[in-house]
Amino acid sequence: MSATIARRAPLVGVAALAVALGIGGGTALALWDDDEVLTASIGSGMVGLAVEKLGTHEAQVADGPGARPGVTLGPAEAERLLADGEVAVGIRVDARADGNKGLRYGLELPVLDGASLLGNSTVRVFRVAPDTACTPETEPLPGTPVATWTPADADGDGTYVPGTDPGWDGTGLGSVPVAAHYDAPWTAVERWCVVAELGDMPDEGSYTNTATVAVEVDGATYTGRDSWYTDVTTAADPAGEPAHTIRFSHTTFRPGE
Amino acid sequence: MTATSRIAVAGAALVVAIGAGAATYSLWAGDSAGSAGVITAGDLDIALRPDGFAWEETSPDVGAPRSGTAPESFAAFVAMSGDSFTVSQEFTTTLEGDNLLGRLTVGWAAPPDLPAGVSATYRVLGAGNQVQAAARLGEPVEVRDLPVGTGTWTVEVDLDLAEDRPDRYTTFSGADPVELSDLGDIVVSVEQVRTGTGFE
Repeated sequence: MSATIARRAPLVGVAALAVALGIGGGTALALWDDDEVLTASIGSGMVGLAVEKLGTHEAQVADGPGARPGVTLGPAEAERLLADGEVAVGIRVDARADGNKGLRYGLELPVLDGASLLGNSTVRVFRVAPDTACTPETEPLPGTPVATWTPADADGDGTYVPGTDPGWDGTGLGSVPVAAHYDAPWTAVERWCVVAELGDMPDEGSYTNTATVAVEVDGATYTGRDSWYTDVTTAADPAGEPAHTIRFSHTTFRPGE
Repeated sequence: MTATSRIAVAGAALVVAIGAGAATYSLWAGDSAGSAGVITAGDLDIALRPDGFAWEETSPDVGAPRSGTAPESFAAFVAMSGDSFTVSQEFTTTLEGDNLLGRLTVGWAAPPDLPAGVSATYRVLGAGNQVQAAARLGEPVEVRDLPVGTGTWTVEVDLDLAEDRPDRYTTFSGADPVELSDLGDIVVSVEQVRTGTGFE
């Protein structure tokens, strides 16, 4: 029995090896191969500009390069201006430019309506430190420009006497809050103040009336005269104040631009 | 035992021997260790060099370009329009054996995913940093007739974010979408071929 097995087994063993070596017809051995996998990815950064009238918690956010978010002054500011003779409004600017990009922005100041309360005020627009409160007494950040709107009659003496044409001077306001350098901060918060002081409205002034009476009695003339005076204050209604919007335009730039 | 029964027993033993497969082979190998001669196995291998990854900024307007040697540092960089990079990975191929010829291929298991305005090309560098193949990222290439021996190679990718590519604007909400430039799953393979130089 064991002798029979010993004679048969080598035949089977040779066939297995033959199969393993791919010798002869039939089964073929697969060719060798090897591989490795390499992966890599990188993320993209963002830019942004948002402006907000302090106290509103409503930011206007730029959604593209041509967007000009703005802050609007209107009836609320006019009411304070008429009641107090002055008003101050703060504007917050948030800027962002990641990586090798920088961002600069500029202010576009509106032409103020000559019949409006703000249009007949001396209005100053200037930058302050980010944590500075905007009051009528606030001073600009040292070394930064101020834009001033001078009305037709700024002296506020109660009598409207037009002087020069109203208009802005020093309108080139702006800032470069984010530099185009990978190591520089990618975000910045800045603040602007708008301070207005009411001048004379076109319908303000004084009224004087003098009455004279002459009576002739028995050939003699008797004359009496009396006069009365009143100030005429403006009939301007703050609720009718038009919207005056200061807009912020911006551009992004690469190093060296 | 009769002749018939003897054959039957032998047949059963043969069936067992064939069915045993590996057991039979190992028995044979033990019996024939000296008579069949020695067969030497070859080798075919490709391996990424552990210290072979590198990236660098190639943006022409950046005065102090950044660079790194880890995929993590590349992934941590924040790219903007106008930025460009080179990303490279060194690897080695090993071919050992007689009648062995190899073919190197570069392909993708997962294709690249590049946002609009982002483009990439790549090249395969061989000995002496000579360009052996080049194509747009995502298009496979091959290098034929790799001889026996060890070779050092580099896959080098040039990635470019066009300067006029629009900026992405944040909403300042903290919930802005993420945008990635993904080179894909690049597969570098070496395979044995039996056609080409030296083969009929």
